[in-house]
Amino acid sequence: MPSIRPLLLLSAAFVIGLAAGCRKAEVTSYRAPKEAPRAAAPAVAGPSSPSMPSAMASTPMPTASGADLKWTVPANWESKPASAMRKATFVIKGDGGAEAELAISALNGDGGGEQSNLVRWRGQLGLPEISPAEVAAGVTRFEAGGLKMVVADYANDKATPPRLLAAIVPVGDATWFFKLTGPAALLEREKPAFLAFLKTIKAP
Amino acid sequence: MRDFWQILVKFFTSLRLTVVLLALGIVLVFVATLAQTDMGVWGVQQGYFHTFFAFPKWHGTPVFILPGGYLVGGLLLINLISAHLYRFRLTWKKIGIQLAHAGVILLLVGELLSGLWQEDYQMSIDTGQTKNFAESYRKHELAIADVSDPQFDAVVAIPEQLLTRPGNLDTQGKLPFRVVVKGYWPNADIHGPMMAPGLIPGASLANRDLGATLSLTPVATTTQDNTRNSPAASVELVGPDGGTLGTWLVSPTLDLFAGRPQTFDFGGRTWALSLRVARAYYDFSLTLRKFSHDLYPGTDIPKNYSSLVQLKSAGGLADRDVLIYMNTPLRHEGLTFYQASFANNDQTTILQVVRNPSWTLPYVSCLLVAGGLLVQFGMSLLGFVSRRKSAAP
Repeated sequence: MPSIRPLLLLSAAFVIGLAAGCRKAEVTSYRAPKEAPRAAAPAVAGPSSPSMPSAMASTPMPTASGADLKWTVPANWESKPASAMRKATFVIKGDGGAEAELAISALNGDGGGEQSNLVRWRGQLGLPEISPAEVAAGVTRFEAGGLKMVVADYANDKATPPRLLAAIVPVGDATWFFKLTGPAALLEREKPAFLAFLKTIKAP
Repeated sequence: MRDFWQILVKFFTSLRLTVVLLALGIVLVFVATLAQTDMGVWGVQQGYFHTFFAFPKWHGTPVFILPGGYLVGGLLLINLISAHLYRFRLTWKKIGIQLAHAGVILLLVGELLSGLWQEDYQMSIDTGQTKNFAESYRKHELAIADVSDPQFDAVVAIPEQLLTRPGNLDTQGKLPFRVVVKGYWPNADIHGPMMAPGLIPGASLANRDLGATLSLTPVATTTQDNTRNSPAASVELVGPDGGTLGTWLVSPTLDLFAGRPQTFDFGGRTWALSLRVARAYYDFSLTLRKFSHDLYPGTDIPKNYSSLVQLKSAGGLADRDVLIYMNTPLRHEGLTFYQASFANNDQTTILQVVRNPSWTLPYVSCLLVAGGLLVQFGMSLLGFVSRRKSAAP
């Protein structure tokens, strides 16, 4: 009968091997040549999927840097300085200090997709989940200035801000978002102006 | 004591244990295959195979416990080895069986080593671009770089795992300031300044740069194959005199929104701060000369994807063109580059970069098993034939 020792040794080696194999996270330092700035966002690919990577909600997307659109705004919309994420921002003042904000931004590609943006906006307003077909049916679609527009109007008294009026406009290989948020009454008053504004938008 | 060892030896050398373990292995593979629809390949590998216990979930709640890949594989390994030590006799007659078993043992060890050692990265190269680093699929790092030099960045990379606990980070004296983690979210959406329920205003997470004007929503983490987590962290830097340099919100999403890394000045130098996909730098570079995406004539059915790259080592030892295509990877310095995907209207190739020091073991073990079986059955056949000959009238 062989001794028990080899069995013991093997078991011990197995456990030690496992422990040694688990690498510890460590801070590293190195010198790297400067990178040339890249225009396109790095695509996300599955470890072994030989297919085209698709845009997902968790995939970050850069602000589109294509040519800007042209539009005409009503006189009572106050322009605010654009920021890194925004193409333009307008503030609309109502009665008794009420204020609504129109944020205009553009993302490369489909900007995450029409459906997922609509669902996200509904979520931000705390609206109940509905089926994709109901989401798609609950928007207004029209064409103006050669651009296809999708306009959503969501409201919930309990949310802050309580109402959202937004348009998704694909332009070339980017998607523009026009998002007007604020008190329900003020948005009701400005809705015709907002729709008229959308119709003034022109691609370069 | 001796009795105890006898029981232990009997248990580990029993054929019943082998059968039970093989059955458990089948159940594990079956359940894991079902779970793959929700968790993706990577999630299943981590949750079912590279673990001692697996917890299959039904609608998000664990319903029962299964022995994981490490437990089943490890016990099978001990079972096989101890059976060899205690039950089998090393004779020429059984050499084939011994060889085949050695092959199975090697296969089990190889799988364990792959699980422990294998690193997966991806390298996406635009046509004409040169790259000397690859990026992880899943891991992120906080990179703090001195970008003052016009040619080189001095980078200190802090793995994401170290950001998960709030408090002082040990940067081992590699930075002239202290890094204090204020908050960490494994997956988060970054939004504009508009406030809405569930959003954490950036002003409470950062007082420097873009982060202060944005807001954040924590979201559930993903292990799916084609999505990535985008973590976020709130990080304060403290100077050597104890004075704060400011607090930043860092996230890969935020950098892409901004189109630039967040920078600040300290000690007469310019520093860049970003939470990005973890990188592995190499001492050679690949330049994409051409990516080809061939179709069968007259159809949209892909026939072949291939990348023609120039491989150039820093020391000038290697400088050659290599064609990487399906099932024909480039192997260089212990790394394997596979053609994995493409993007950007066929202008960008995506190579999968794998480091697995034990990649040859499965081949060797298959040869051993095949050789062992051939020898064993060959010997039986020869014996049978010679017996028949001698029995013939």
